[in-house]
Amino acid sequence: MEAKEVTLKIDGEEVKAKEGETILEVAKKVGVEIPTLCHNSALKPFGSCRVCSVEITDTRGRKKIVTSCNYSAKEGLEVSTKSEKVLKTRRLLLELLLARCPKVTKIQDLAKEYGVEKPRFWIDDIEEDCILCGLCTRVCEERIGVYAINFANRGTEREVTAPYNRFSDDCIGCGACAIVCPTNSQRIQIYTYPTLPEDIEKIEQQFLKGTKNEHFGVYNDVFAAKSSISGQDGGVATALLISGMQRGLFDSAIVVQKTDGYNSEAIIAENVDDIMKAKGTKYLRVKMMSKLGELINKGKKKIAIVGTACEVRAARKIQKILLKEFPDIEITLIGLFCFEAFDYEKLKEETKKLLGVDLDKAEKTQIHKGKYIVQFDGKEYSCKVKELHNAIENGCAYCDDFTAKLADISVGSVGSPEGYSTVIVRSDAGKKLLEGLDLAKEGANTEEVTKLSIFKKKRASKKFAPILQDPQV
Amino acid sequence: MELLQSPFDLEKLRKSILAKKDPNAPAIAICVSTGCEALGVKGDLKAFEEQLKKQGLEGKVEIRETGCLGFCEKGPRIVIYPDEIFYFQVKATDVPDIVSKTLKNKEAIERLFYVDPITGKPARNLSEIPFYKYQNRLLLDSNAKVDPKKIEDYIALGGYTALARSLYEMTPEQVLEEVKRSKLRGRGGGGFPTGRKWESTRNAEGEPKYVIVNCDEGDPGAFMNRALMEGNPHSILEGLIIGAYAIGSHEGFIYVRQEYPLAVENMQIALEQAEKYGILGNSILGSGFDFKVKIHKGAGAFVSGESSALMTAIEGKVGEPRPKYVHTSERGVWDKPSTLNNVETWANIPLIINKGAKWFASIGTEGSTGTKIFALAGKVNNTGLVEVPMGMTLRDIVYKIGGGIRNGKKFKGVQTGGPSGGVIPEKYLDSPVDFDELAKLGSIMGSGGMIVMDEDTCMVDVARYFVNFLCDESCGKCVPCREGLKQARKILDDIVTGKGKEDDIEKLKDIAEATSAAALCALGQTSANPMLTTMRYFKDEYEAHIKEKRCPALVCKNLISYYVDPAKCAACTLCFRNCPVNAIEGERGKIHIIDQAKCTKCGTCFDVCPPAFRAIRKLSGEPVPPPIPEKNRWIKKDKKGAAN
Repeated sequence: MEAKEVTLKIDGEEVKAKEGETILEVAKKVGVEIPTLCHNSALKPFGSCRVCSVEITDTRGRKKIVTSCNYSAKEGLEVSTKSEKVLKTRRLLLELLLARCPKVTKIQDLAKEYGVEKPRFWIDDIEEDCILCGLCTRVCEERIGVYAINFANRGTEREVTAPYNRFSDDCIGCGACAIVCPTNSQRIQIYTYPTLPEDIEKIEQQFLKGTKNEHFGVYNDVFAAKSSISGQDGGVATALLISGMQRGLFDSAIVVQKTDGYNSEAIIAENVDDIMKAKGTKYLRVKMMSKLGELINKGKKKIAIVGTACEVRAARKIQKILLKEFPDIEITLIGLFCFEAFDYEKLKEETKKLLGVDLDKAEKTQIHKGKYIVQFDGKEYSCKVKELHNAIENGCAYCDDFTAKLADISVGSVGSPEGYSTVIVRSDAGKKLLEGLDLAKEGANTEEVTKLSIFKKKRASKKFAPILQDPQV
Repeated sequence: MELLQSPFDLEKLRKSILAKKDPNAPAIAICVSTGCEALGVKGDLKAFEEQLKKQGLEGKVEIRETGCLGFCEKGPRIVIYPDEIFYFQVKATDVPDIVSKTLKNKEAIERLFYVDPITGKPARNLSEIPFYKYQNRLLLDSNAKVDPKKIEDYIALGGYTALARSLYEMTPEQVLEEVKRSKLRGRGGGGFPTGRKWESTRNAEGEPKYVIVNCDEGDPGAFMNRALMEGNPHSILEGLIIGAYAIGSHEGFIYVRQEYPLAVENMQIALEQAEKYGILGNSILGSGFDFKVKIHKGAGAFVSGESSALMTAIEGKVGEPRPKYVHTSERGVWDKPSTLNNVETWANIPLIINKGAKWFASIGTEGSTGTKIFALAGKVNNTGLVEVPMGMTLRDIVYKIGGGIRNGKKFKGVQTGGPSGGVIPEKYLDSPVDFDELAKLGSIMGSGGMIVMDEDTCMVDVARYFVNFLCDESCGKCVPCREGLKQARKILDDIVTGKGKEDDIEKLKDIAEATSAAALCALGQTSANPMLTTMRYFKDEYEAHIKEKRCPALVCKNLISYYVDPAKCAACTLCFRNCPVNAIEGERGKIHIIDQAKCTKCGTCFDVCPPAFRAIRKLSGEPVPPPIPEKNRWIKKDKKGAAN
């Protein structure tokens, strides 16, 4: 049904609008500027900053201040975006915000526009940079869908944080929160891992070594390899872990192990037996970062982590923080190629539906050349990965990193012959890990890797586009 | 138990219940609600059981555990039937006498009567007690008559006949029309016409439609809703089902705060019992109308009492308000049309259906009909729940029902409407209490908090108290409420500690204006009321604090000093011995001196100085006189012991 057209006045000018459009949207269309702080057109209106307040006069002549971001256009409505009352209200709101965040340029500039240079009010914390607009929490919830951060506490104690004020197990480091943040607040960085291009550069400089390939990141070697272990493909990741453990390169590792059926969780491996139990790819996202905290508390100093790009991003960010306090901690990151991860419950349901197979009883699962293959009862069942779109974890589509670019060494099946794994060596730590390891080597098909990297990046750009369309970002 | 299939079945049941009850049989009605429980009623109950057994009355006297009658400060309260003798402040040690004298020999025990503190007269019946005499207890009266855990008690009083009438004799439209004609307005604070709200949900698009009871009573000191839900849950449920019928809703929620365990328990029992009789569930009373209810326990946030926040909480999210540019009556829980009313609003519905809109509208004022329950608290002689017709003057409530100000002090102001209400000064005491009149004075009806303040109250301190409360209870979502209140609290803190600045009043006014205009929810919008009204009516007090660093009410610690008046001090050492920080120097016969540097202004000396001397003075805005010379400190005493 076509929305009804209504006529209203904005600052005296008659404008037409569709019923249901917000005043802010209508004003924008006719070039009337209204300031906003908590608004992003890709997200549901929230109405927390109140800076977009305008004064309306309804058909009965009643005047009222409303927020234009969530007030709908109505027939006969008169809107003033610059009445004395509006300006006074916005001025006071901005003065309050400036007292909260005196150093934030965005607030300083906007307040100045309304005649406030210095707030008359008390400044509690001169370093405060979060205006609690909720853009970060909402983009994480509404768009990315991982709910890594939210508001905690109420009233004057309200703050943005991850559950229990701990390193998030859910954050995938997509950076959407940091992108939408109008004040570039450091608060969201405390327990989560937004990784923007400038962060990537810093991490690369600090930890990686080699030439930088636009598509699969910094590398100093790339090849296809096969170990003597029957893991996934070439069993390289498992071989690296075992060799590293045996040679004392690490005293512990965080790996993913099946728990009940196919469902998996991150576990701490402290010997070769533990590692062997965890071999084979699971294609699931698991809660991993809390394990890192556990290891640090246990006094472990040399830790290996095997994970996909999101887990590697998180681990790198935590590593940077940890190094400030514990300079002797060594973390080796073995990255896994990942196009997307699945949600266990949903994957189980889809596998049953599409293949008629109980995932929990599968001997092995594999993704190969766009196919999802399940070995069950000695037989192979397969479907196109595309058909599993319902089972994909929230947020994966926002990730643009196929090869885990920030790892010390990345491993995956794409780009290598049957029974082999592609290996990308990215740092000295990665190199060291390969030393003395007996691998059968072949050349890798980097074009295939590039193709999928581009594909993944394109998908992410497309997903990010709506979030990025607002000029305030 | 057989399901009731018609109004006739209900009437039959009522008669059979009544037939089993002998109106002349002795019975003890004993209030077991939260207030009396805190005062030890459980001990009384045990004592009754023991004494009835001991004195041979076991099984011959019914003990009825009832709800609150409102006069909690005089609890535990019991009523002895059939003579309706009211005893107050009953201790377990009084029980043997009650059994032997009143129950066995119909002899009243005068010492347990309520004694009018002004006339000194004991009162045997409620009608003789001023606290009750001027009330019109349409809703609260039944609290003493029913055991809230027994649906039969409610049915015996004619309960659920309004529901039967609605379902069988009225169309939903007629029910709606009746409620509209009664001009009932929402008792939760906003005062929105109930009938119009119902109609808007009824006409709104979307299914299912929901009806909701708001029992998230969070105003400090207020317990109107608790008393109703603990004492007479079926009256609320009956109102809710009637409302659902009128609106076309088949699903309801009762939102009760977790801190009201007895209310939750009694409501739960009420739902179960109503279901067993077929008063709740499928085809209620055989009418074909289905309705089911869920209890949702709130986690105790004040802000969840705001309707949209409450609905968000029901959805399982954090209780934070949403913009209500589209009313929740049209888009509420899960974006479905939802009518939310306060406990007291729902409890009025059966009365309106049974006695008619015309009767209801005849009570109260033109714009505010019916009665309203208030939690009368503060510096009045009688505190507790009072139910009065709308339009009664504040003066009548404070003086006739409340018995005036304690200890002969002067009235200063009355705060209505809870934390976001306002303080009304003496010159408006003759204003009638109704929605519109209170709004004119800058306050609100709110859900019924009423705190009386005497001359010893500092109005700046009062504003600071409420702003501080709201600061803690604001959800923190929108800037004006969160940041504005935080700054207002800081400014008020400064003023009461002598750090106030000339432009503070202007800043407070600016904050108040912005929050009133631009806060997201009604809670934020009204949060400035305590500041605005105190600045409006007691501006001189603000100015005294700011300009003269003086607290006229002698309350603000940082602005007052305690001083021993040498002319009055009898050197009795009482203050000297009680001072917790040894700031008082002196000995028997030697006039005491307070070391101002050590004094923490706790006020102990002021409190313990015997009324005969009144030697401790509070000073504010003036220098403390220097201590009297050492040689003049020794006092001779005459024979009576008073100082020369």
